[in-house]
Amino acid sequence: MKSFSDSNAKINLVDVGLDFRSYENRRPSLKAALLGALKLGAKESNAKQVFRALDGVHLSFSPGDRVGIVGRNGAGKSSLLRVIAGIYRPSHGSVELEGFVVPLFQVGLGFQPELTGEENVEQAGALFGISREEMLKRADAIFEFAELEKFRQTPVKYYSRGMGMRLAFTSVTSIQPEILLLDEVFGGGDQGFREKAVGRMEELIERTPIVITVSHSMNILRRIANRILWLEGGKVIMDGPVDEVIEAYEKGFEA
Amino acid sequence: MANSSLVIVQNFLRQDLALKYRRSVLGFVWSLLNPILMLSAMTVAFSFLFSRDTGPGGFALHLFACLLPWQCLTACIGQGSKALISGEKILLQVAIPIWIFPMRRALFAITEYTLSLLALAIIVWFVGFRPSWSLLILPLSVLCLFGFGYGIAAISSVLVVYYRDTEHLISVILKAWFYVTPVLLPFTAIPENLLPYFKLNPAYYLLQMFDSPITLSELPPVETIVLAVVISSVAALAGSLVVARYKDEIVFRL
Repeated sequence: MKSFSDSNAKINLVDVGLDFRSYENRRPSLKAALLGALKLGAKESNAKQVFRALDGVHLSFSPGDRVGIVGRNGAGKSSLLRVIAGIYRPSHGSVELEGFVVPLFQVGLGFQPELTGEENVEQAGALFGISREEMLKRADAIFEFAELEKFRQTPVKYYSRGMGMRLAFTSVTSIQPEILLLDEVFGGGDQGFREKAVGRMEELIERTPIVITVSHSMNILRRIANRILWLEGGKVIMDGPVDEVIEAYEKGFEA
Repeated sequence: MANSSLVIVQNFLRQDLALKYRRSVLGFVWSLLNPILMLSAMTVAFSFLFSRDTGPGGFALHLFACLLPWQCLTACIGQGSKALISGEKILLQVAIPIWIFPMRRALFAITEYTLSLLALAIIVWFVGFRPSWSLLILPLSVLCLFGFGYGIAAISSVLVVYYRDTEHLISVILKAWFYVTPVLLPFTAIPENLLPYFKLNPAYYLLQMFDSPITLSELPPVETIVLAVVISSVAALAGSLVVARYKDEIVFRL
């Protein structure tokens, strides 16, 4: 593996906690709130439940770390990635981070259907602070890899689902991060493309100082990770070498 | 970080403009024709009502001076209020500052206004418009419009995330607001006894910043200049404060 001695990338999480407040009333209305305040109408229930998605998480990551995160659904895996990405601000504790972060999550990039493929590639770059000129330089390679050269000027609304996924995946993976966050994204699109995509992803991981991956696939994690975190109920249960943690995690399922 | 925010804003603005002008065959020409046709129709319809009370430029000039910035303002607020909820996918994917979303709408509205203003300037030559030095205040007028538009867009975009019905409320308010603002009614035709009430409306000052130099070829009253600057600064500041207060919570409420 490449050594990343020249990289300053680092992540320190100190006692990080994240609370989600889920409100009983998902669609509160201003009308009801105002009438409630004036005591004219029935006061809307504003009861909320606090759900602790992350609890007392102490972690640090340094260059060379290829971290896999395992845990059941709702264990806090995706929340942890979003806290590291700066999307969720932790309710407790602090995150210290250095390095250019690129998150690759399943929600998609908010591709605009009316815009052409090329314009959406520009937008994908812009969201990470990459200028239009720079992104246009990469566009040839992006469209070639995504096998969409003919559709570069076609609005994305005419793309099939697979085409859109191919373009989104290829655009984001054309950006070289210092910290790469992956949430169950390991290639996309149809079968033939998936193999190419996995190769591209592995190359990107190879070049990236810190990689953190959430996956349910132990095969993928065994292949790319050198450290596994096991999360349960928002807490880190185990943090160690790949085989050791995966073995314990899988035993935990049998029990 | 500041630099990458700039890249995002530029990108959004360029794409919003590209989209707007691509959607029709006539493109940019249509976006000029649209206000011209509307102004012509309204001039014919309303000039009978207000013929005696307008400045030397007549009713058409007043409409031109006030209707376009009014539409800019309603676009800022109407589009701006939806800015955050329509940015949901992006906000859940990348950590970018939320002010970018209302800013995008406000910049788009202002850019559209400026473009149509420049092109229409040629046309209004024919309805008796002659440039005067007082036009030099227009950049300040546009800045005030922008500051106010951004401030209100920022506040309403946050409010809509918490109370979704605000979106409909805002469109109703905008309609009512139109009738209490001298958009159709020439400034000179406002009845004396109602003037104090008109002056409670912030849009009165913002629009007079356009009306005086364009319709009357004179600078707006000092009171108007001062209040327009104050009102728009306060709105922009309030919008920024609301954004700063809710920036970390918004993403949990989308």
